[in-house]
Amino acid sequence: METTAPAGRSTYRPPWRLLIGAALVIFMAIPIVTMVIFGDVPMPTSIDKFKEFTNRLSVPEVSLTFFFTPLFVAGFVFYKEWTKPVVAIPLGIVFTIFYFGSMVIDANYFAILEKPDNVPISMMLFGTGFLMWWAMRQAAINDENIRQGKPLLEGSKDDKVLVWPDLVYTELICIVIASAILVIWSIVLRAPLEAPANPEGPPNPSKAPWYFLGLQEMLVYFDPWMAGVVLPTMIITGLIGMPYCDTNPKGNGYYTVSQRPFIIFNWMFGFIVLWVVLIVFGTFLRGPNWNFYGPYEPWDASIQPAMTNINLSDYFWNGENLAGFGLGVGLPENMWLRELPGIIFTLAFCFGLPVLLARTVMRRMYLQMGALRFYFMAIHFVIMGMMPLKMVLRWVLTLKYFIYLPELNFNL
Amino acid sequence: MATTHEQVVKVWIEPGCIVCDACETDCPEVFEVTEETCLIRPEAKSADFTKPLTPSIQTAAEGCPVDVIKFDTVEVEGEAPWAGQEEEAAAAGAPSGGGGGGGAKKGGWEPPEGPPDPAWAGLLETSHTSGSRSSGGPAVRVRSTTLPAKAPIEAVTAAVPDDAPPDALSATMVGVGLARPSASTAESIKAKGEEKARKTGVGSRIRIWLLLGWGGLLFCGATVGAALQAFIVPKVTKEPPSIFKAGKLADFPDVAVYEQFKGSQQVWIVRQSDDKLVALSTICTHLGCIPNWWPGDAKFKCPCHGSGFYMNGINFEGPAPRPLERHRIYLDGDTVMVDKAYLYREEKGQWDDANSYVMV
Repeated sequence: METTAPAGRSTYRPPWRLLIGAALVIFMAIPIVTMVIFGDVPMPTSIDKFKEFTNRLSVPEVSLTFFFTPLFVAGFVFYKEWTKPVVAIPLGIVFTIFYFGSMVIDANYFAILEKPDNVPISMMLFGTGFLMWWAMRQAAINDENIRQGKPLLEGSKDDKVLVWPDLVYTELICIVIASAILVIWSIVLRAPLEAPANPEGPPNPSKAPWYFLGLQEMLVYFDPWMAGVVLPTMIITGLIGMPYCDTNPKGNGYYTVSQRPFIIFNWMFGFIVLWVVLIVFGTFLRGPNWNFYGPYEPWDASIQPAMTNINLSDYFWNGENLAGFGLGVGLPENMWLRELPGIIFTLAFCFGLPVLLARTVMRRMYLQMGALRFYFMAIHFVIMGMMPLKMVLRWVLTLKYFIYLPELNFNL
Repeated sequence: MATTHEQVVKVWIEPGCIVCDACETDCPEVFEVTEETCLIRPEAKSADFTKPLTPSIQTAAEGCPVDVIKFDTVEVEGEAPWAGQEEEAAAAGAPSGGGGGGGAKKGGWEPPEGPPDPAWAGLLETSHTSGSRSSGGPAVRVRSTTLPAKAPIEAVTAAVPDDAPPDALSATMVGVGLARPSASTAESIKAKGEEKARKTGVGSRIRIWLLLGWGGLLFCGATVGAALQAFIVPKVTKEPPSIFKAGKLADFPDVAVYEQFKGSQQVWIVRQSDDKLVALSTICTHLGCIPNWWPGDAKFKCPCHGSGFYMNGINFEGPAPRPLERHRIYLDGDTVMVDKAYLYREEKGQWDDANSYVMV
């Protein structure tokens, strides 16, 4: 947020945006540079080498950490720049060429993309991209207008319309168009029906419907009741509670980012990174045996990377075989003592961290929202943060569960 | 006695601002709240600028929850140009819960009741930010200093720009003393209810009935819930016999996973390297998919979420929280029999049970 400092006060403000941009570029270059220098990754000098290069970089611990997340942050910090049509249109064209052009250079990618199951994925990608650009563009214009004291894009419009005919007609037109699209779609693309279910040979990989691929990806990292019941319930309670937690009166009826950055960042992270990106992962990167494959890698079910998973209690008590972590005294007999580190960590993360946030970086928010609203929001917020944390720990440390109590069917 | 009034000539902010936005809401001409602190706008450094803004600066200073807004004043001869509004601010400062009663006005002129539209009244109520509530004044004091007190309604209407927020007009009217804020609908309902309860003494009786009502509802709910749990487990099941013949002992000569009953019985017969013959269930302990046996890697691997199990059924990769389950296996003569009605779980120590394996 630019401000005019009063006379007599130092007007110097560090060029934050430039520094953030440089840091993001350096961060994104880390895997490429290290893999090219220290690894055996080929420079993309031919199409085959480009394909191998992309496959290596698309393993999730690299692509989510070093590519999708910085890109997401950059899209948020530089929203005034990239939403300009002169930048956004070339970006869209390059992405479209890359997305559909890959079908020409690789048969496996073609096989994924041309499956009737996956047609909605393409529609989702382009639809989400366009709508995000549209909203961010209006927010960028509005924020600039607010800064200069000009009226908002929406400000001069009368926002009241009549239910009949304005709203009902609009809905009627939408119904007709949507029905037409569905009818044409169902005529042109055959339903992807398969053979009757066979307990001897379930499909490999067995994929959920496309819109649940994000949930299926979550299930890889959590116990079923956690990823299948608790976390989806928290998504729903969070969505329900969001308007009641939001005490910021700004942004009602107009697009803005600068007046409510936290909640927009939150929403975008939950929706774009933890839902859309995970659907893309599930579609393009998950192959047979639910292993990761690069987008241009043949789905060979006999390729079986070993990935022994280790519980936090193992790391803590048993460390001597595990690269020197831990105490090396062996697992205690008592299950509560055994899982004590994980239980302490989980309680501290889910309930201690919100208190810490209220006392430190989110103090202003805490004062504005009040305790009940703030803790409702903060507990949902940190548990949403636990998702990527657990994923990264699984990829990097092959961590299985923080708390592992199979005796009680309780694993976290 | 000569009439004097105070005018603000200098405003400054002491350390300790909690950036609550209250002052900017009360007096946006002077205060600007940034990410870290509150600033005095450069133009507000001059006394000429701040003098006409005296009332809203005073409101902001009173409304500051941490009292860091300080100002210097001078005494000026004559009636203050904003005299009417000051009273109005005082009137609005009275708790509005009591039906919005304002004090008696100088000169006996009682402003008309605020806009009768409850939506407008509600907007007025909700327009307060938390900080400015303490001052009690209307949150939006649009151009309160440029309008003469008790200006005609037409002048106020003309002064409020068309694109101002919907509550700006009513707020301005309140600001210049043409109207006083009416109580919100919720507050007037509550006040009326309290008054009635006080008169009739009905409140305590209602509370008893409420308690009885909720108690009864909870009791009925608990009863129905307790009754419903009887339906969770089926009382009658039609299942094929749980026992099947798996063949002779000689049919399992090598250490291997035998898959001939995977499709028909959902059981793998596994001859382990310690010469135990066990019957492993093919149901993944994560979410119930059916894993595949990969002889080359010597592991079961689930196609749904990637859970992996060793040949003996122990889970070692992916999300599966516990090992595959064993069924009861026993010898009838030299025929291997498997009874799927029994389950043996490793994490409960049941794999030591002699019924869970057959020594070859």
